[in-house]
Amino acid sequence: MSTNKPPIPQNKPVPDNSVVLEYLNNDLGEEEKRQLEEMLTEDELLGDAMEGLKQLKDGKEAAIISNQLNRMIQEKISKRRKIKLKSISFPLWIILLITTLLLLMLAGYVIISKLP
Amino acid sequence: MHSHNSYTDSELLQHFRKNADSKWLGWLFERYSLLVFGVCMKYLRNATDAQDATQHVFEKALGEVGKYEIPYFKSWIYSVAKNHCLMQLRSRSSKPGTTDELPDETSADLLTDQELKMKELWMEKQSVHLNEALNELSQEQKTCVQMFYLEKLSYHDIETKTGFSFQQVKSHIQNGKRNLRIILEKKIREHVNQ
Repeated sequence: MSTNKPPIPQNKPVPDNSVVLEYLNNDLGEEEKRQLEEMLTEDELLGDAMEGLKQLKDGKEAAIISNQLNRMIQEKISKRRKIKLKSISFPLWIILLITTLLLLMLAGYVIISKLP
Repeated sequence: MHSHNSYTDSELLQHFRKNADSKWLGWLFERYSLLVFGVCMKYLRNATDAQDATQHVFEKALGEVGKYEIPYFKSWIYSVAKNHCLMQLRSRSSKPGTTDELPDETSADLLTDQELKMKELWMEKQSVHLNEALNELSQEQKTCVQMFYLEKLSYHDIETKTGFSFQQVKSHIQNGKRNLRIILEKKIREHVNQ
């Protein structure tokens, strides 16, 4: 018998993290639970994820980990933003220096040319 | 005013590319953070390792989303996570004294939408053959498929009634459903050839 798994439905959205956490805590209503469990059999990503999350103690542990992960993601993203800003400020600094030097040279030339 | 939940993955990526604003990327990554962690947890079976792996996956994603177009972020992030975990397991199993086994690999569904529609139509009309096909499944798969699809029981109820774990119930339903399709497809071909 084949043990092939279902493919990942490309266009179907994944459930919100809060719904997944409610499912793990057994807090979802019957209808929502049914919908999510039907998605589990159709969607390899969701099925694998739920199988992994079920290894945790409960939904509370999953919620703590989820918060930690989201904080980590925000930190990584803001660090990347800072690096980008730094890389932009470096050439600006050089451009300003060169412009100032050029203006000084021009002013010097005008002054010297006007001398008798 | 749009909530970020109302945007599709592609729309979030498009906005990120257009505006170079990382907040779009943050929303997209948060949408998948718990699921990616779950996938890593399934393969690595340890919360700390799974968190490290999830961090690695999103670092990689952060480096790559701006470099090229990702048409299906969901499958892409799943592949990145799964491949990373499998590599971790391979490196663990190559170390002496470790006994981690690699999980079974998966393969794609080979049936087209048209074939599936044809089967669905055929299944509606030929429920007798569905019963025959159900009997060809292993006992565990038959029980779980019947309980989930015919009796409409939840995973939790099936776990309680059968004594199977969540993983076993999920696996029996998924594999049972897949095998049922294969058996029914075979029966369609036989039916067409007659």
